[in-house]
Amino acid sequence: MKFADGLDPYILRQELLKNLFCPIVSLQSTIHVDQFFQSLINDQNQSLSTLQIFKPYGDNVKYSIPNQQFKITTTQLITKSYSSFPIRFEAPITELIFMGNAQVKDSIKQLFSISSLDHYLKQLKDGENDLYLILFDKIITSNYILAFDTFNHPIAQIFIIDKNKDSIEDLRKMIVEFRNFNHFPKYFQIDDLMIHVFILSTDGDDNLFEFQNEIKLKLNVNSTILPIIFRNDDLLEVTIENSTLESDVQRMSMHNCSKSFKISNTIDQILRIKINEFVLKWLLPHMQQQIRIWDDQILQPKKSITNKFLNFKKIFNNDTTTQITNEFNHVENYYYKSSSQQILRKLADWSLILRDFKYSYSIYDLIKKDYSSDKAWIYVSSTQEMCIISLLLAQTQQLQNLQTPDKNTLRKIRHDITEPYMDNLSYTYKSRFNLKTFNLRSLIIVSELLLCMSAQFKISNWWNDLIEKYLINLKNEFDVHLGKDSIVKAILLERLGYNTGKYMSISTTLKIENDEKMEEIEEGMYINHDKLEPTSKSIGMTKFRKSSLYYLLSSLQWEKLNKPIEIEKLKNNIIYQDTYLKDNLLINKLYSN
Amino acid sequence: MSNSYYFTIIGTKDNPLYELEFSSFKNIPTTLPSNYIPGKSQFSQSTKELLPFIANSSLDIIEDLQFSTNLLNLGKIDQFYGLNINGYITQGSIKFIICYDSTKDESNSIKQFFQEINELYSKVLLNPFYNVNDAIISPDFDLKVKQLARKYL
Repeated sequence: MKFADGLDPYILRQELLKNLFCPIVSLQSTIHVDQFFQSLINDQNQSLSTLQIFKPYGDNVKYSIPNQQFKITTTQLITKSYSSFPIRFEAPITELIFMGNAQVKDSIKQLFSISSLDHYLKQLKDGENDLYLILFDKIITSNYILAFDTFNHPIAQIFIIDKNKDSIEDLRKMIVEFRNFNHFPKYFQIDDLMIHVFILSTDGDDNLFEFQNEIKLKLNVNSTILPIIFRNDDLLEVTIENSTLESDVQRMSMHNCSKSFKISNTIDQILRIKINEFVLKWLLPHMQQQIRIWDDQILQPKKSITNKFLNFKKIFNNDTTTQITNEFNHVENYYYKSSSQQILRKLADWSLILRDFKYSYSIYDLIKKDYSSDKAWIYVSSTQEMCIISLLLAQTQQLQNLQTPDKNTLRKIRHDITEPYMDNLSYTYKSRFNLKTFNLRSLIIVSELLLCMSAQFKISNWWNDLIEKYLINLKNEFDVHLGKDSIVKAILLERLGYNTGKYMSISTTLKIENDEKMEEIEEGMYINHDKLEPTSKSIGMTKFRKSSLYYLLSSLQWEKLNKPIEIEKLKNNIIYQDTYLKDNLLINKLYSN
Repeated sequence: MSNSYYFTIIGTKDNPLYELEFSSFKNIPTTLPSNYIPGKSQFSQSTKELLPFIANSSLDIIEDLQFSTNLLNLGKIDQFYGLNINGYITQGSIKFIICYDSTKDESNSIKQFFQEINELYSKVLLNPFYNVNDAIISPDFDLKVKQLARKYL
């Protein structure tokens, strides 16, 4: 019997790696390039920027090339290959700062607006999308640059120029202007940013390599060629993806803006190949090299015994310059960009992006103590969150030789890490900084990763109650803001039903089908009709009834919102053996039509 | 808090045998609604609709607990929508469930109530015209349950 139909948590884990824990590459193009890409879009009513066209291609799970492989070497020199390595294309950091999308001074913005999230979900067309997936995506997707979390700090900056219309001098000007921008936040290290150039060539010019060499010689910047040739072939529809809630709401308010555009097949192929080339040839090596440098220069000395002696030396040494750069700025809540604390956090984040989860966990665990001793609370809670996430990501990798963790490990993960850290970070986010959305984000991510772990090792009995607690917390937090008639509540109740329905108190898969088969009756055997029928074999091992209750509550919420399609979807998940409940007025009311 | 209770007896096939809603005679709320009748439950309409389902969902926990404890009285087993749920399982796998919205811990008085109900239920079973899992429709049983509710809760 299949029960509790819902979204596989592994899809959400994939979304997490695609929309949050992946490198940001910022794009800046010249006006000629913009005009060129504009002319490519067949629908003239649409006005799309170059960035918007590039954005979907960052997702190389969907926009892949045949046989793509991404080889990543860890600091322990172990090479693993992955079939995808998504990147996110964003506007340049200068623009994001200008738009107020960066943490400046002492104020930290909320990740998203709770009421617009509810409004956005209500506006979506009925039955077309998986609403929980959208809710999850919108909660985790953000391009807000923070000091204590470097996932949104761009790793590479690409300048796109048109070979025929832009000169090297124009490019030089763009780079100089970018570098001389004097409002970079003090926690952002521009030296870690890789500068790269995409050269757009539309006429099959032969001198492209010379041009590339010239750029390399004059500006010391590497480049990739985008040879785009017009051809009137089939058109391909590309959906705009990985957009923040804010931009989606904006798009929705402008009615004629569709969520997709059409592009020629050849150009689509060229973009896929060239972006893949950029990731393989430039981005990955850059990240691996930086990680090795930081590991050698900062992490290893810190771990060594001599570091402890150096700490003594520091106390007696009156070198004020190093002290100032390493100190936490309590007013504006950041560490200076060149401080070891800030670099180590970046090292941990980057290695998480490169999927070395165990290594990044060890760094998060190490730096957490430094942050607590400096009373950098926002860094502490963010690092605690990442400790849990990196640990769970490591545990949920779909590797063949991954063994079920033993009870002691599970106990440690639950009682020493997940529970205390979650309590702690919720307190910091909510009470110390009033950042409720950050708390919401960590609740939803952790509960989904725990669901993944439950599914992977069939240990739902370990995590079921904790996931339920986090999801109820999440629902209550949304209830405070949105009142009782919110769509988010209905979606979360549905997820609670899914979680409870997946509960099995034993670790092997139970064959519930067998329950329904009665014992075969031999001929001439005496049957005692007064004897009670045998109870189900799964008695006490599942929580289908509680799950049905959550699904029922969710249906009632959908009814309030007048969404009959959603109620219909849940129909198969509401199972009652007893006719008394089956014929209950409430259920009749829901399914009368 | 209105100190209201929902008591139900559930058979072995998840079928309800008996149900009763009432409110406490001891802890009368300080602010009384205009249509207050002593002993009448004060659950809101939306909660009332859900009570049988909440009781049904707690069967999962009772069935889970019955393998790990020898006790018949299972105490407070769950909390849902601000309602506390206490459970009791008889030797014949018949479950007594009480859902109540009091803030106080009433496990002791509920335990005594359950024990007395178990005795009462055993007497019902002695009736040769009664089969296990049939609904209990005896007015005497109903009256006695109400008296016990008044005595203990």
